[in-house]
Amino acid sequence: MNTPIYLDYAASTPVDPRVAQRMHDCLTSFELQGNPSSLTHRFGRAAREVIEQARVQVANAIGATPASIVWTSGATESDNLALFGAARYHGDRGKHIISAKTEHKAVLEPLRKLEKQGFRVTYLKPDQHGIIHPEQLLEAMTDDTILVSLMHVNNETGVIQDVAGLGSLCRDRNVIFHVDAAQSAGRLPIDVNQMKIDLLSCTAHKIYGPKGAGAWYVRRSPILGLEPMIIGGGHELGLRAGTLSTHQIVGFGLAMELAVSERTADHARVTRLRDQLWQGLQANTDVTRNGHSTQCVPNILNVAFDGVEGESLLFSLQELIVSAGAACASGSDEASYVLRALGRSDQEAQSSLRFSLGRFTSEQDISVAIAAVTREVSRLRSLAAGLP
Amino acid sequence: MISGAAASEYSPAVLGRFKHPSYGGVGMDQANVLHATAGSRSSGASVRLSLKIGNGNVEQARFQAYGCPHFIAAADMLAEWCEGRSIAELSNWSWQSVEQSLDVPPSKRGRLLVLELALNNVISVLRTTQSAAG
Repeated sequence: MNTPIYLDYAASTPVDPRVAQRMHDCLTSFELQGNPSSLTHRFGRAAREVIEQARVQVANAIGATPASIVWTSGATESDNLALFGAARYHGDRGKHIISAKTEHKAVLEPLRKLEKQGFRVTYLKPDQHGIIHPEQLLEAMTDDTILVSLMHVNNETGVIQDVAGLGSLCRDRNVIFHVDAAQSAGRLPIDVNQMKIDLLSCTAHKIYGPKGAGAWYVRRSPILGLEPMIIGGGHELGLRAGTLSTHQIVGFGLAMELAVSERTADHARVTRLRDQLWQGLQANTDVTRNGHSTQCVPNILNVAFDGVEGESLLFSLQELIVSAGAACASGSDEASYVLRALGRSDQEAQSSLRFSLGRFTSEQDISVAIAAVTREVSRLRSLAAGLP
Repeated sequence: MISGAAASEYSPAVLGRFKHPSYGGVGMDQANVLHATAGSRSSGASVRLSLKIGNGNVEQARFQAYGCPHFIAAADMLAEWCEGRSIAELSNWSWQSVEQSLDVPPSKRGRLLVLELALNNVISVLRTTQSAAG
């Protein structure tokens, strides 16, 4: 069987060969094998130096100072550290947190745990296109709201939230604003100061870097109080203990720098491919787009194929690697909670696929994808024609 | 999100029947054909079973189905089993044998019961038709 066409970049991106080479160089350089915290000898200082270069690369991508970047294992860890750290430190001045129904589980599950620990959480419902409007946030805020956590770009629909508008509302009311930027850091311009972001989570493996490397932006001016969740060594300014993974971080730094320097070209090329895919699907099958048609990133296209069962469609498309909103093979028939929050029925959500494109997607890949989807949607619809 | 369904999640028997069902569709002479449905799209599994009856036997069986690969493969297997059976024999069908043959996970047992319901419904239609005729 030929290698399938990878259209699941929103789940994870392949490592860019330039990043892989830099990581290889790092791993094979004997002088970089010291513990980056061992500043008393040359090897430790050499490792620390390349880590600090990467810190600058990541900080520059989000308009932050290097001192405000904490290395983590990925966005999930950053989300956990941000939510638990902020809630526990600031819990004495309020017990109310605001988030959205469409957040990633890396945010929702920590919030559920905080609810069990006495916090109240309001989950905002987006409009039918996936947008959270500032007035919704304003209406939900109370005197004891201490934290708002909203994602920049939704991982299922690609919808972009007005982070700057939401951030201003939080800052005006002295409410901490956390942004999960796993899908946007490097892809979209971010300036944590202009957007009034206090805490931000991002990861390397969504921007052609290695898995297992992430970053957490923590506002330093004025200093934001946080309870450290991982202790034992005082690393990363006492907020996240543990020996740093030099080659992972170096790879992350380069991946972020490349994402920013090639953003304009990547954006234009992927937009063209996404439009080709959407037009091809529309021309050949009866489809509905999930999300917003313009307020979205170009690399994600979420499509509902009415009358087609999602798991069967996903499985039929063996030549493609895509994601579905639900699959009963996993033991769960639960439809995508994100699409349900947008007002889609269980059936519509289960009939939806997410195509996510990236740096290595070609026009030929898109042509093959359109042909395969058209063929299988037609076959499955024919098999189910007229059924209740 | 669930990423790309892996072929290893399904047995070879499911793969074959899902990709190339031999008994799918409605392609048969509609004279003396009885239909029954069960399930619903909203519940994730819906099926119509069509049996062409002649001389007290099922001469042809066809199905239409909306559901996961296991469900479609099981519907194909049910239709195959029905062909050539006498009307009396139809009530001997066992979803457990299909579960075993196709290696259907326990979480999907409910979908096999939808097929059993469709078969029971078509048997009821048969009996009603026979009573009316006789």
